[in-house]
Amino acid sequence: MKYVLIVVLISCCTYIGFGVSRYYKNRKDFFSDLVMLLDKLRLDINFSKEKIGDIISNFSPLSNHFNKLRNNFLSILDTNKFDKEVLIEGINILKDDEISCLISFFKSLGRFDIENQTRQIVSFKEEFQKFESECNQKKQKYGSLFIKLGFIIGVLISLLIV
Amino acid sequence: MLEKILPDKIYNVINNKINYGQLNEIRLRSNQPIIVYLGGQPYFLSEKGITGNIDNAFIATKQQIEDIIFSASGCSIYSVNEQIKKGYIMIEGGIRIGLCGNVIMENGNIITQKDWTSLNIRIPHKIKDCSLPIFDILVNDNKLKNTLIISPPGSGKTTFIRDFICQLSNKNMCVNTLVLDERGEIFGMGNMPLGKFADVISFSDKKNGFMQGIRAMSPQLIVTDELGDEEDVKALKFASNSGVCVMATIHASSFENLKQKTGFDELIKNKYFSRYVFLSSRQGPGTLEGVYNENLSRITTY
Repeated sequence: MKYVLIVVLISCCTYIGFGVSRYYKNRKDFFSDLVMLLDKLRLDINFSKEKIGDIISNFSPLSNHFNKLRNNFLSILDTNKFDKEVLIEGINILKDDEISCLISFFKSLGRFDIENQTRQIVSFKEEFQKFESECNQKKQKYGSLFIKLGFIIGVLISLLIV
Repeated sequence: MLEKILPDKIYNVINNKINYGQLNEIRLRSNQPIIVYLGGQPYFLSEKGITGNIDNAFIATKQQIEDIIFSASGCSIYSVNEQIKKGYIMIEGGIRIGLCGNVIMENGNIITQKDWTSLNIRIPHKIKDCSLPIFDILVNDNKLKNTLIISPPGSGKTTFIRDFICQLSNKNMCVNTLVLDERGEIFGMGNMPLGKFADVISFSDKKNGFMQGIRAMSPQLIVTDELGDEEDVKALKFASNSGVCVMATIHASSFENLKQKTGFDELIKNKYFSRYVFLSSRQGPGTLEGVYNENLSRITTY
């Protein structure tokens, strides 16, 4: 019974640590997908002048959170009514400044001629790349740290209790 | 398609309280009443349908105009910028949205339009067999004649040529017809069937379209809409030198009016066209006013 309790405790704490580290991974994946989408938008708009909806619906993101954003934006395009609440619905890994940057980008997407649309994408890409590299740094710094920390805390609690 | 671009309030009235079959145009001007044309006649649009009372009319806002244009572009203005430069956007069903706003120029060329203040949504309709009464005058013993369809704007020129192409198909006259649909109105981006013998080049200017089409498809007849400048006249001559018949339309109200257009005086003198068909909207769009031969003598009166 004692050993079972130790295993459960360590597992729980490690899982919590894993959850926290996953937050950093999700944020990194989200912005990686976003930067990839911006590259795709820039290329497809310049090469084939495809419509925004077609480009975005043909994009397959790796991140679940980004997939939510993609679906939210496609539903906005369907109704032709931009709603920032709808855009970020179900996405809880972003900070306020990131959300406002995201909203500015999607709100203005598709409203320019090719030249200016490309400029807009390039300028937002720079912004999003900053977020991405920041997330990457944090992921490297805290990602595995929280799993280890969870494990150690689990071991410590087990020692104290048992 | 209108449901995708119009505000719900306006679309619901048009859908429920107006005879869509009669609807020719919807005109929105910033801060002015919305006007619809039914059977060629203008009416104000109100919550209860059409009205003559301006006080009840819906007032269009600048935001509504911008939203309609953005929706019509498929939320991708850049994808229709070439059309915007020419002052219109084509959407599914052959619906043409004419635009008015600030034209942005660079080195003498239009690069785009923005800050739109007016738009005109033109709804195409089929008028079945509208070309039939004069079909035999335009096609004699299975021989096609170079024909110019003449009328002021909104009098059914495009409807007429579309029906003519369908008549060729209905009568099983295997005439390889190249439709040069510069504005996408004839073929309606695939929504207006043109029968068995038509090949369509869309959104090309006449000079390139004629050259490309004649080389690639070896047509016997080229049908095109809205001749305008000298380049179009050159394209006609190119077709003529290639032995291809042409049916085209032009905005004019009389021969005098037509002769004033660059290059057309010469075309008339040289008897390029064997038939001139005048249309009007006197009894609704597509009213036949008369057909003339190459000597400008009236063949038939309506």
